[in-house]
Amino acid sequence: MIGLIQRVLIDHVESHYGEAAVDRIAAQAGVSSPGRRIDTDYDDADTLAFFEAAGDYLELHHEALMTLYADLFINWTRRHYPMFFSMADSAQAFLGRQPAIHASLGAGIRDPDLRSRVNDKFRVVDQSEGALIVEYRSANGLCSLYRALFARVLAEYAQSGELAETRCRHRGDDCCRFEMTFATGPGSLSGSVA
Amino acid sequence: MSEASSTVTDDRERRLIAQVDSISNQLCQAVDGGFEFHVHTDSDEIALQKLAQLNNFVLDSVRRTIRDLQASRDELEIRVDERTQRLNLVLTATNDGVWEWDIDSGNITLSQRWSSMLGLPLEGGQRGLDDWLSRIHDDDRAEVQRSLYQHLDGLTSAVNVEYRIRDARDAWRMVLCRGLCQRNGDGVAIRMAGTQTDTTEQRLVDPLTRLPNGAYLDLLLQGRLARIPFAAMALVKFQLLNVASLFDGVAVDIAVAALRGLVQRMRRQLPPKVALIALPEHTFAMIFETDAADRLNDALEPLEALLAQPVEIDGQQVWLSHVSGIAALNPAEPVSVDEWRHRSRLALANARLSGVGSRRYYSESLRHWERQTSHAEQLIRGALATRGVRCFVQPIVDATTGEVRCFEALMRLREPNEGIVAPVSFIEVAERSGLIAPLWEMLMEQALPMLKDEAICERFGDSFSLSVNLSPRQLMDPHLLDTMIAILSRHGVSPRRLQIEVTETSVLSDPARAFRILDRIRGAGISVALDDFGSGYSSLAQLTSMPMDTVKIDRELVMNVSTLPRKRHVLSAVIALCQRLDYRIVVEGVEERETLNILCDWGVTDIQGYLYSRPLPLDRLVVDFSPPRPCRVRGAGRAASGSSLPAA
Repeated sequence: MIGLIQRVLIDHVESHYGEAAVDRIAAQAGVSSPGRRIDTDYDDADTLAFFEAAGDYLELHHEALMTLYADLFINWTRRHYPMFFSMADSAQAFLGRQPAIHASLGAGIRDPDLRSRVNDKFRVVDQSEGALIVEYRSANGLCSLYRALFARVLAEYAQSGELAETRCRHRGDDCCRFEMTFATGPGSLSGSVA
Repeated sequence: MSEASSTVTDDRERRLIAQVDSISNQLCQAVDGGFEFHVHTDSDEIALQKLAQLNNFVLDSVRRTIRDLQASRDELEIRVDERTQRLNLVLTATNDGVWEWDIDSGNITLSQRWSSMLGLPLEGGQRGLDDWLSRIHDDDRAEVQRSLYQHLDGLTSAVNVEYRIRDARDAWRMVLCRGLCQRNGDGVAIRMAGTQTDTTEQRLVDPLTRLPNGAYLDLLLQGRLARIPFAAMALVKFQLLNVASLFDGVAVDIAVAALRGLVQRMRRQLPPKVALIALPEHTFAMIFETDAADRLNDALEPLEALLAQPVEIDGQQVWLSHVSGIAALNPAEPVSVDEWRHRSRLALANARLSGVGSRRYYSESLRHWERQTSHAEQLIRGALATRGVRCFVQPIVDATTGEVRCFEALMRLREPNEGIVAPVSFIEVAERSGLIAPLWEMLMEQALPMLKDEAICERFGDSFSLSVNLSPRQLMDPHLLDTMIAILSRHGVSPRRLQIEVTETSVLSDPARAFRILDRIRGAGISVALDDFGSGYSSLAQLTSMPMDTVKIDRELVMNVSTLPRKRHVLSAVIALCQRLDYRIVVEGVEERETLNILCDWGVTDIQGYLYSRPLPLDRLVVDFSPPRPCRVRGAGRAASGSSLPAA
């Protein structure tokens, strides 16, 4: 998994709970030195273990951790990649571009197979006015994170919308499929997830 | 800022600059057009990592784009290759060559097939339009150019022109050229391209024999006459007269196969360089490089020897008859293609008249003969158009009673300038041209009413018959009997009052068929007479086999019989034979009383000749001819003089 994912969480823990907290979480996850480089790909299992240990440390169950992380992620990327946000004038535009952004984050991976896996994780299946369908294909099964990010992006653009996960690897499907709709005008600040 | 702090800042800046410089240096690899590298930074600075990462994203995007373009190009190449293969398959299957004319440069590019179609070596590169046009036949070149330029100028929707083109062997091939112009947005022609299809088989080959055809002969004749220096040559036309015999009672495909086999054998009898060309009516043409009659005769002998053998077909043997006409050209006397062809046609036509196996050379006398023939045909057509047929009659008298037994109806033509024209001037042409049939019908329309004419019947009684001649061609007409019955019926005349006269030569070409027809005619009640017996090469065999009632002995056997004892012996023998065979006998050409007396002594009663009357116009018959007095048969004492008929 690209280092940026882990870097956002590490920065949060470190800034709020100190370096020792990072070391403790890493120790619990069995990761000797959690990677921080955003242009480097790290072992998926280590990253997932670090996330789980961080949830324990922060005493957050998985969904809550994902909600927190989505907020951290948006804030972090808005600071370091403001252009991505200014390029999109709506939540749908941002999420429609998300697979390409994700691919750009994985572009530094030297191994072409690994790079392809990163590039192919997200795919826009269909897109029309007020509607977007995205497929997520990864053994990591972080569809919960996508759902949290959907809600956070809606909030970022002060829009409302709905997400239905019509397929899910956790249910035995070959991928997770997010069918999203977006209100055209300003609505409630939070989205709903089916 | 303290000095220490300033130093730290400087160090950090230098490191940042060094890292940025490192990234820039790595990007320099792209100047070679290669994008298979990654930008790397050791910096912990997120901004630098981000810079490296986004550079890598751009590089990856470039790589992806190049890969996509390459994939598209590969796919296009595969499709182009497939389309090319399909097009080549179609062009190969259709035997087409391809040409492309670049309008600006004027260059023509020709495909390998285009060149091989003409047996030309494949010359790489391009050539000028004139190169192509120079191979085209002189008579076709202007039309090809017109077709190309009309399409170039937008006047036609496509090029579509057929022409003759010279191949590598200097032989002519027929090709069909089709093409289209490609134009730019302003409608200006950029290039023209199309196909060339070899249509020689369809245009220059005779479908029945698969030999070159008449159009090909024209090309050869033009080519030979255009040669410089002009050499002696001869155009030979060789006609098979009875090819229809091959088809008698045989399946068409078997007969066609036999004919094809025969023409191939004929071809092998000729020198390899002499083409055998098939023309209509089973005529074949050849061009020999000599005008010497002995060499031409030598060249034709193997062909004639081949045809002296029967053609085996379906277990049967068929002999084919032939004639040939030769038009030799003297190097000092060049002629046009039309004239050369005409001379050979005249020679062949004259050979046909001369009988099977004849070989005739063109000469000026044939031109005279042609003029006469042409004059005769005009005469006949004029007579038909103006009802200029005139019926003359000559009586056949029973010498012992003086009664007229029969009138022979004789045809004359009335021509405004020439007056009455005798048959010798037109009958042969009428027969050959088929105009004899309408002439004959006109004659019958005039002659038949005499059988019921009041004045004639009062003078000659009402039991005489009418005798008319039939030409060989008429005799073989399957509708002849129907025609005669219809005319008789129209005039209310009994068939028993009609007699037809046929010559031996009428039945010679196909005796079996002729005899069947004569049987039917006699069966209908019409009498049959063998005319002109004793003239030419008469065959006594016909006397025993031919279905007939009467023998008319020709004047050649009769003339001077009173003064030439040996001739008298022959005539007496012929008459005795006819009497033994129970035929009626009419002796023609009797002009002297002494001859009449001899004939009467021999028991011959029916006499025709100037002694009684020359042929008279029908409207003058009653006025100019009266029945003669009976001839008194002389006593037995005359037998000593040798004039009595020898005992049988």
